[in-house]
Amino acid sequence: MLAAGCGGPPPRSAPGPATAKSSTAAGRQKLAITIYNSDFALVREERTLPLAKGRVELAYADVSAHIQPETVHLRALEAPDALEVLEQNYRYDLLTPDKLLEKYVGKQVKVVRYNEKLGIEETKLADVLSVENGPVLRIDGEITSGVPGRFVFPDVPPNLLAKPTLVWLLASNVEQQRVEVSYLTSNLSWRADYVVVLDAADKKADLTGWVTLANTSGTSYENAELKLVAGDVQRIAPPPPPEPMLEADEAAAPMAARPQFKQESLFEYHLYTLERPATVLDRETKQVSLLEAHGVDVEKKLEFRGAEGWYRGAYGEIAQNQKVSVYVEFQNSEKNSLGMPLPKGTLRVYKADQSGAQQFVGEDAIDHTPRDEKVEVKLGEAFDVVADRKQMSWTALGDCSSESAWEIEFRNHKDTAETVHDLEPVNGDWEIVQSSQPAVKKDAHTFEFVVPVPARGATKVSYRVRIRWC
Amino acid sequence: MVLKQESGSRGRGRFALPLVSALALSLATPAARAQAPKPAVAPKSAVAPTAAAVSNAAVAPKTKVSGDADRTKVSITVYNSGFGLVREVRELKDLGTGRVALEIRDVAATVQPETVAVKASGNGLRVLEQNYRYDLLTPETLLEKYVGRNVRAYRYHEATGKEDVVDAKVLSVAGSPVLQIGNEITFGYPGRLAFPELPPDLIAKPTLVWLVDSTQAQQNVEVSYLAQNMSWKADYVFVVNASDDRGDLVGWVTLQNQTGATYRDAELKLVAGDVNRVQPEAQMPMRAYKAMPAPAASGTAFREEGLFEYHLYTLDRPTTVRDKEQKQVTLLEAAGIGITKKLIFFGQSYWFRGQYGQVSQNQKIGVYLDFKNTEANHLGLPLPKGTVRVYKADKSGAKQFVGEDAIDHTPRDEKVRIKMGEAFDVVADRKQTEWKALGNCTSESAWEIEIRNHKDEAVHVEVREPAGGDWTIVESSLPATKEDAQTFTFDVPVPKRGATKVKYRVRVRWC
Repeated sequence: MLAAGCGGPPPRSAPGPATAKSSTAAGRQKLAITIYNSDFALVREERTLPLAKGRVELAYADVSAHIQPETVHLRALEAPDALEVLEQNYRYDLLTPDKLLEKYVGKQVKVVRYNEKLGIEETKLADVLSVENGPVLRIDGEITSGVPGRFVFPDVPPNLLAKPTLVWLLASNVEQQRVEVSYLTSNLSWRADYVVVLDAADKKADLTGWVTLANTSGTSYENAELKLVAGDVQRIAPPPPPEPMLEADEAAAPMAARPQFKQESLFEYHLYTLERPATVLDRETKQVSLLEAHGVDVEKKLEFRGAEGWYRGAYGEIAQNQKVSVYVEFQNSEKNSLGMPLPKGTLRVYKADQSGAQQFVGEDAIDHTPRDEKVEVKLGEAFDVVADRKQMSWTALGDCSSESAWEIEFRNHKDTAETVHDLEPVNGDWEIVQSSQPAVKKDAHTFEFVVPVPARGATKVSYRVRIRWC
Repeated sequence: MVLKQESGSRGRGRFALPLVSALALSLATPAARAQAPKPAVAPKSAVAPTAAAVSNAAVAPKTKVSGDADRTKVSITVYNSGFGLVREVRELKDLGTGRVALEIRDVAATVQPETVAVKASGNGLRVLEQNYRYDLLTPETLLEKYVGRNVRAYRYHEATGKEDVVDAKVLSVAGSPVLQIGNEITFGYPGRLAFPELPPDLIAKPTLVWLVDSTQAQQNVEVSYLAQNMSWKADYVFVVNASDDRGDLVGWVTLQNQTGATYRDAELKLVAGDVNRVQPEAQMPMRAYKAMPAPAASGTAFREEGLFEYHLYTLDRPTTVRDKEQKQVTLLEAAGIGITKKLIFFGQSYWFRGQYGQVSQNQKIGVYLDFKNTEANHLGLPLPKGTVRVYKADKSGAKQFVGEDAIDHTPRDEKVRIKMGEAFDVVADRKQTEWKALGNCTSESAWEIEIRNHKDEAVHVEVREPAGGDWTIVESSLPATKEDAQTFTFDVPVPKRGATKVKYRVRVRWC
């Protein structure tokens, strides 16, 4: 598979020096990239390699600049038995001015200087004595440094390269061969962006999912088969945080296109395959539609949350005109016209104003969400619904027990009635002694009041809580 | 060439230090250098009679230089932890007899000088001293050596297009050079300075110099040393089948060389194991070869043997390891390894003591692969520390990457567990449904874990709960298994597109 061909009679001990060959993108026949959520990608390409019988030293050019060299694998496609990878080398001893000069220590170079008066270049011979902290030269029997002009070298020393290069030492029995090469590279990433358009009553919505992929890997991938993997795949050295991407779709919802990805399960993740080849250029952000759903039932919810520490201590009025948050939730089920895995991403919600123009009403991040799970996103804080919270009395009942009375007033300044979900987190071993509305225990440390508030009216909730903390 | 010219000054005693203290020898102070007699002229001959006293020799040594052209054999043994042992044989055709200062060039720039050992093939060589010299020739050190002496200052004259030359005396180099030109004292003189000759003892690169007594004009010498910035690690490619129960493993060796030297046609050996190194001093690794039966690995390029308490891998052909190169060679191959995919949901020990509501919603469940490194499982090989990358074919047959993890050195017959990632379609909610104080340091809490499986096949999830303190499970909807003093587990079957709830009560006492 990804490794060298196993078995077979490869001419491993072929005598003689290796034949040098090279392969570039021109020999590429097929290209596939699989991009993962966490800023890396698997690149797979097929090329026909020029080979020779015996040992071949093959330089393989036009790979990503952010390649992880230890993940490169070569697989012969035509005659696996006729090709064996003896070694795979990644060379990065680069040809730089400093390196060049260093290789000439103890050798003679020319120093060329432009003579402004005469308008000619003057050449002197110089012995390079040392290059530590600047070159020290011997010119005409004198030792000197800081000589103006440029150095001229007779030759490029062997093993200095222009670019980091992937070189294979291969044992081959054929003159050329089609191979598949795969490697992991960083600086390729994708994320999902969802556009939710609410109807006037906030009851139904249309959802469009977009894939936004960004390529800063230093290479363009032309006519590539594009696949995306959604899921948290373990990497041992976390790749650097991705560069912030252009928020091109922030202002206006892009026109919904027909979804172009085919979804399948892969291991414990999901794989999306684009149905047509795509070209991903270097330094490009590309958007492709991922999914589409119409008439999704959504529920708008107003939520008011308390804080845990309040029930133990003595306070007066804790907050006036406290904000009530707005959430939208929907079920990711087939019954609800959805029921598909929703990859991690940003969900942006739009709603039409009275003139029919769609306005942005909030966004939130969602994690990977399998089908049949509930999605809850926070859109913001309600403008017209506010709440005051007051502690009306506090009594100590011993070293680690107390009783307190509370009053929460919800005021609705809208022309429609609203229902506020008041979630109260409470610590310790607690009990509600009395309350004006029925309290629902949600879990060991939370209770809830569901409070209807009339149009342009107010509703008060009063209750007493006894707690014990040891 | 630089070094040959200052040959007469070698062995004057200042550099004649025992090898262990080579590093303690910092740059000789200018005062000490000023006391050293200066050669009147730079001697061009290899043999330079000087009157300088050599501590234990009456005759001034001849200087010989050995570069990589003399190298007839090189072998490198690379260790996991970023160092290598280089062993090379050099044929010294023109050593001569008598006392010789032998300069060895083309060794790694990262050589640890105190680990250098030299051995002659016969009895024709006795090492008196071993020196590591690193007083480097730089524009600054050159100028420093000329304090109080005359130099020439060149300045380009734009009108004439010629360089004007004046004689100058260097008065001081603290800060920038202060010069006396004629009767004037000046600094910031434009142009460049030229010096009549190279001061002795300044060299272009750190160099190893041995003072030896030779009785054979031509002989073979074996030199060995430890060098830093050479390392290797293992990279494994693991391909799992469609049902996630079998896999093929290929191990690769990834070798890095940043020692500053290239080793041509080297015999390559790798040692796998955690070899103790003293920091910062180095210690020669022990050599106690013990033959062990070769493992049943299929045709790979490396031969494996036990070495002391480690494993040694020898490449069966010479290879060239260039400077600044990363090299990969196949280490092992095994097919049809039985594997188990596991879904594990981890808890936190402090949860049982404290008071929480809903701890987490849609919490992630980890995916792990377990396999046994046994012969029965088509493996049974020592697996050196490295990275395992797992691939699986998608429906079109293309192999996709599905996760990677690091493994430590793993002997045969041990179990390997690698984390692949987090499951997309299996999620869990954890809720504390009740909490009661039972006194100052005892509490009872009730928990509900709901695991939901959105896949089209049933799964088993291991719920692993680490509990602190003195704990008792009062009741549970599924049998709990006590794994150790602080851990209990539940094996939870979750039907396809369904959910399973695990409910239990724990009483914890923490004092």
